[in-house]
Amino acid sequence: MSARSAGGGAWTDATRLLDALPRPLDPVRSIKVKIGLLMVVSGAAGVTYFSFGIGWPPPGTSATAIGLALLTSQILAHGMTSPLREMTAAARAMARGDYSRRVRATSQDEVGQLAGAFNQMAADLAAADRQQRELIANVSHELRTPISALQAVLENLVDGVADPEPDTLRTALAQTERLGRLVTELLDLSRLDAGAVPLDRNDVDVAEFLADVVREAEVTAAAAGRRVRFALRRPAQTLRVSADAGRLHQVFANLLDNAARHSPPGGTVTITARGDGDDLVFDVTDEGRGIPPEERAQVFERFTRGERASRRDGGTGLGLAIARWVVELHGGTVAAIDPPTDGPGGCHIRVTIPTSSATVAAPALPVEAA
Amino acid sequence: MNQRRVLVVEDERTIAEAVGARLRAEGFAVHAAADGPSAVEAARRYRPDLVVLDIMLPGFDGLEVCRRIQAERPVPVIMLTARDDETDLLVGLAVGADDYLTKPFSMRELSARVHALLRRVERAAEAQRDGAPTLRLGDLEINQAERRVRRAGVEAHLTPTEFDLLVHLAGRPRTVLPRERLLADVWDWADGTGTRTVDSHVKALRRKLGPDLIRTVHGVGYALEVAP
Repeated sequence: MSARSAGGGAWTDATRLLDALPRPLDPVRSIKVKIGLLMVVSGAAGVTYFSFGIGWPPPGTSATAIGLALLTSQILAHGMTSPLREMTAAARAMARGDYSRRVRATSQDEVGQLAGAFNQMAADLAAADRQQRELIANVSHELRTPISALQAVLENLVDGVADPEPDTLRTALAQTERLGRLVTELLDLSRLDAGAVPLDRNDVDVAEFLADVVREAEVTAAAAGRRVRFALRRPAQTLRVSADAGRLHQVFANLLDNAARHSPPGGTVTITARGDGDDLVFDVTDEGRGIPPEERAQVFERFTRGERASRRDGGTGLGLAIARWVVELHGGTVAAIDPPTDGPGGCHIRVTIPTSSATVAAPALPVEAA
Repeated sequence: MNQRRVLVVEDERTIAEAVGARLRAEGFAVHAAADGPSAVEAARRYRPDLVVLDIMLPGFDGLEVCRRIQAERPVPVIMLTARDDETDLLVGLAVGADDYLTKPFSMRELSARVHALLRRVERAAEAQRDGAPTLRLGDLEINQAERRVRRAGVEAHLTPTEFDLLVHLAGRPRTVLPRERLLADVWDWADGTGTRTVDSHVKALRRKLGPDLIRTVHGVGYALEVAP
């Protein structure tokens, strides 16, 4: 402890000393001129000492030598500093929001490496910028729809076009609830984005956990007036998993809610759990129209919902993105897979979670396809 | 009394119902459709005087609906968009929409726009009945009775709004008409907030009739440039 602080003290002292030394070439505005000055002044210093020993060389020869040296330095230094100037211009362009500029990075030295790193940074920033815009466009689109619906209903009420009947007010309430859900999920997602959600792992009894989730889904579906039946196929043996029960509950509540939304009236949503080696495998199936194979990977990205066809379902387009993130945080995977050929052929979502409590480093939040 | 018919195409039920209620209260007969295919079908059977059309629809989207409806029978279309990207807007106009509203929009504004658009179309129909003359300006020929436009002998297919805008510009060739004035005369909008609408329609006209036809006077408006 004391040694480290002493070392740190020596280091600070050295830095302070180095900082205190003058930087005589700072006012010079060009690196090439600096190199010329460096050569001429250090050469002159050497030659001065040299001349004390054996006398001055002929003045004509000295002048020519100096001129030649300067010329050579300028020719060799060509292109040495241009990446720096390009980077300055590109950085200024970036400050204005233009990420398209790249710097020629052919030089092998530190400047070349800097130029390479600079290009990489510009590309990353451009991608982040594009994703950001895409996300904002999607968020604003998703916010606008319930707001327009609310405005439409309320304006009609105010203008006396519609009467304040319970039905009308319920519609307005449903849109407000949808807005509220959207905002909550957006906040949730941004918290996940920032990596600020640690898992609170506990030993979870799978059968009990699923029974809970299903009970809640039944209440939700009944409240929404959906005639859907939930069938829970419990595992034969007792299964336990080390997981964040709260977060996992959110995942399955969302999957069951989705399944219920897309079920035909009177349909059945089936949820099965089984152990498979070191993994727990959950399957959620419904009897709806399912997801076309080419769209299955996308539904777990923010705001992509099967061809937007399900916009009327009241979903927010964020639930599956959050589900995927939580499952991946548990070291598992979630995917839409082929429905069994002998079944009714609806949507089939499979969640796989390792039973071992091995902690998993937080994966990067899946970003939407650019 | 000849009640005018409006087809409302919107997949968000709450919005569709509210728009329907509003337009019925204004004296229109309203028919609703919730997806692309049924919208095209409804336009064919119902023969509306005007269509209010959402861009995002299941089946195929509003742009495609607009294209198909217009291909069968020209009808004024007001588009509803939830993304105000320029592209949505311009593509919307290229497929023959006459006006657009960005969500969230005001019901009062919507009904004002519906009335304005119908008034405009009726005025044009009157001009047609009264046998308005055919305008010839250089290689441009505007047949007002048949609402057809030819440039250098080639016929261009214009939407009702594009046609009206062109007729207005052709009424005073080589004279700069301010955007606000065009907005008031062609669109019947009193306030000057929709000047971007004018720009978009001018762009569409240039695309269909050649880039040299209409001159932009920066910060002011547009002028039709034809050989005298």
